[in-house]
Amino acid sequence: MTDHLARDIVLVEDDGNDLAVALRAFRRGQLDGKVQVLRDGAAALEYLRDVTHGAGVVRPKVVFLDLKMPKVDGLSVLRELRADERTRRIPVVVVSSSDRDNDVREAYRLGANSYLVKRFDPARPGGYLVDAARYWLDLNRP
Amino acid sequence: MSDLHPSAALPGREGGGEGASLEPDGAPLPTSAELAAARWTALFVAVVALVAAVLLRSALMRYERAKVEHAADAAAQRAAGLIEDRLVSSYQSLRGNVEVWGRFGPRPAPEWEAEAEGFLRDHPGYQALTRLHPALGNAIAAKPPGRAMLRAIAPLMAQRVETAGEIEASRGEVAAGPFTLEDGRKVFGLQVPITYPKPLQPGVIFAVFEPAEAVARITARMIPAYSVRVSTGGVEVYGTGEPAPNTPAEWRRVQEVRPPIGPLWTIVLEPTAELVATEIGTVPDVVFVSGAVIALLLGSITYLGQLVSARARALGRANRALTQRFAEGERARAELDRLNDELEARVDERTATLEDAVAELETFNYSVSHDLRSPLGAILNFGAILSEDYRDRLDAEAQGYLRRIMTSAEAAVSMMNALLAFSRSGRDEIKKTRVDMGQLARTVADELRSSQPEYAGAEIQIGELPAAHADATMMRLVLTNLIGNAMKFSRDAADRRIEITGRSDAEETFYGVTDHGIGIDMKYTDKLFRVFERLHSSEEFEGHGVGLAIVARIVRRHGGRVACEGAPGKGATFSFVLPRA
Repeated sequence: MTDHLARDIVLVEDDGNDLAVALRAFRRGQLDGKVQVLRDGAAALEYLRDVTHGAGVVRPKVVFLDLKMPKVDGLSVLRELRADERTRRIPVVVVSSSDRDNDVREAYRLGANSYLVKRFDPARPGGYLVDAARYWLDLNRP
Repeated sequence: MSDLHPSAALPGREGGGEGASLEPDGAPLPTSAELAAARWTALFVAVVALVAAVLLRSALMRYERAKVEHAADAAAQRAAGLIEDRLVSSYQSLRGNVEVWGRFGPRPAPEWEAEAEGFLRDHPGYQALTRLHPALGNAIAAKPPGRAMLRAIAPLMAQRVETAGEIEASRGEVAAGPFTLEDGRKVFGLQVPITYPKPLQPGVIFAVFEPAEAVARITARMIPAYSVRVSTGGVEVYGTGEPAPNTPAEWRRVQEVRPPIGPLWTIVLEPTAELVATEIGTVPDVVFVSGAVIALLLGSITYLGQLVSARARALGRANRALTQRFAEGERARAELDRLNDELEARVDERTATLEDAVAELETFNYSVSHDLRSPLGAILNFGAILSEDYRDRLDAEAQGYLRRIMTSAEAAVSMMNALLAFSRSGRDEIKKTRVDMGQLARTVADELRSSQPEYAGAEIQIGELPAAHADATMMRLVLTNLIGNAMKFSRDAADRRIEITGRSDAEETFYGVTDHGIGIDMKYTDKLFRVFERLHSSEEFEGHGVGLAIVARIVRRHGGRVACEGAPGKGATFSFVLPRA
C-alpha cells in the first residue's frame, strides 16, 4: 500500500448503495480523483496507518466514516485512530443513518470532528457529502 | 375466607380459658382458690415469723441471763474478798494499835482517848473504844452512838466472856456478837488484852464494832446493783439493796468469809431489779415485739405478694389467651399478606413481562423502521439519479412510473419517521422543567404557518396559558401535532380561527386547541388516539395516523390525560391535562 500517495478524502463505507450514491456525488462535484474508498473498518485502519507512516507524509484532509460496518465498526476505528499518535489529528466525519442521541454522543466522545446523518435530497443525492468535503478541503485549515 | 374476617382476630369475652375471668373493665381476676392459698400462705409465714421471734427472744434471754450469772459470780467473789479484807484489816488495825499502846507504856486517860478517837475516825465500823485497867483506871473514846452501844453490850460481853471461858485459848482475845441493839443495829464486842511493861499488869482494850458501817462503803462503792446480805452466827449484820423479785435461784451467790476471829461470815449476793433491768434490759422484749411486728408485716406482705402474683398469674392467663388470639389474627394477617405478596409478585411478574414485551416491540419497531430507511433511501436516491441522469432516455410513461415509485418510497420514509417519532415518544426519558406553554404555542404556530403555504391563512388566537411542569421537547411535539392537526383540518373551512386556551387549578393545568374545520364524529373518538388509525383517507388529508397517538402517549407518560370533542362540520377541540407537579 505504500506505492500510492494518500488521497485527500477517505470514504469508509460498506453499503454498496450508499457508496454508489456517494461516488456519483463526488464525481459530479469533481472530487472523485481525491477519494480513497475503503469497504470496512479493518481496511480503513490499515490504510490510514500505512499512509501516515514515515517522515513527510501527506495526511488525508478528511475521513468519512460509516458507523455500521462488519468486522471493525466505525466507533472502534475512531477509537483506534485517536489512540495512535500518527492518526490522532486526522479529521473524521462520522456518517450514519442513525440520529439517535446515544450514537451521536458516543461518536463525539471518541473524538469525531463532525457527525452527519445520512439524508435523501431528491435534487442532489449525496450532495451533503460533497458539501462537507469542500469544507474540509477548501475552508478548513488543518 | 371466613376465618380471615377481622372480628375473628379481635379478643372476645367468650371462652376466657381456665379460670381467667374478666372484670367488667376487662381486668382479669384471681380465682378463689388462689385467694385462699394466698391467705394460708400469709398465715403460715406470719406464724413461722412469730415462732422465730419467740425463739430468738428466749435465746437472747438465755444469753442475757448467762451474762448476769457470770457477772454475779464475779460480784460475789469480789464482795467476799472485799468484806474479808475489810474485816481482817479492821481487826489487824485494832490489834496493831493495842500493841503499840502497850509497848509505849501507859498514857494518861485523856491522851489515850485522843489517840483512840483518831483511830475511830480512821477506821469505819468501830464505834467505841475503852481501856480497862485496874491501876490506870478506865478511859473511853466513842462516836456519838458508841457510848450507848458500849453501855448496852458491856453486860452481855461480861456474861459472854465468862461463859465462854476462852480468854486463855485466844490469848485473851475475844470477839462476841453479834448483838442486836434496841434500835436494831448489830454490833460486836471485841476484847484485846494490852500488855504494859513490867511491873504494870495487863489491861484490856474493848471495842464496839458495827460491821454494817465497815461494809457499807464497800458495798455501796464496789458492788453496786447487788443486794448484799452479810450474816454471822445466824444474824444478819448487814443488808443492802432489794433483790429483784422472782430472782431465780441460780442468780443467788453465797460466799463464806472467815474473819480473823469469831465464827464464819456468810455473804449472800443477789442482783437487784435495777441490775436485771440494766443487764437483761428490754432487748429481748424489743426483739420479740419487733419480731411480732415483723411477723405481722411478713404475713401482710406475703398475703399482698400472693395477691399480686395471683393477679399476675391471672393476667398472664388472660395475656396468653389474648396472645393466642392475637397470634391467630397474626397468622390470618400473615396469610393475607402472603397472598397479597403473591398477587403483587404475580402482577410485578406480568408487568415485567409486559414491559419486556413492550420494550421488545419498541426495539423491534425502532430497528425495523431504522433498517427500512436504508433500502428506502436507496430507492429514493437511485430514483432521483435515474430521473436526473436518464431523463432524456425515459419516455413520459416511464417517468410517471418512476414518480410513483418515488412518491411511494417517500411515503414509506415519512411513515417510518412518524413511527420512529412515536417509538421515541415512548422511550425517551422525560426531563420535566417549567415550560412556558404560551410562548411555545406561538413558536410552534409560527413554524407551522411558514412551513406549509396552505397553513398560512390560519388565525391563531392564544389565550393565557398556564406554565406546564413537563418535558419541553415533548410539549413541543404535542403542540405541533395538535396545532398542526387543527390547521390541517380547517384549511378549507370558512372559519380559519384556531383558539388555544388554558386554565389551571390547584392540582392540574388544562390546555385546549379548538378549530372550526371539518370536525369529528364522536363515535370514532376511541380510535382517534390510536396509532395508524385515521378518520380520513390520505387523499383527503395527508398523514399517517401517528400524531394524536404520540400526543396521547406523551401526555399519559406525564401522568395526564387527553380528550376531544366535536361534531362533523362543527370543528373540534382537543385538550390535554397535566399534573402540576
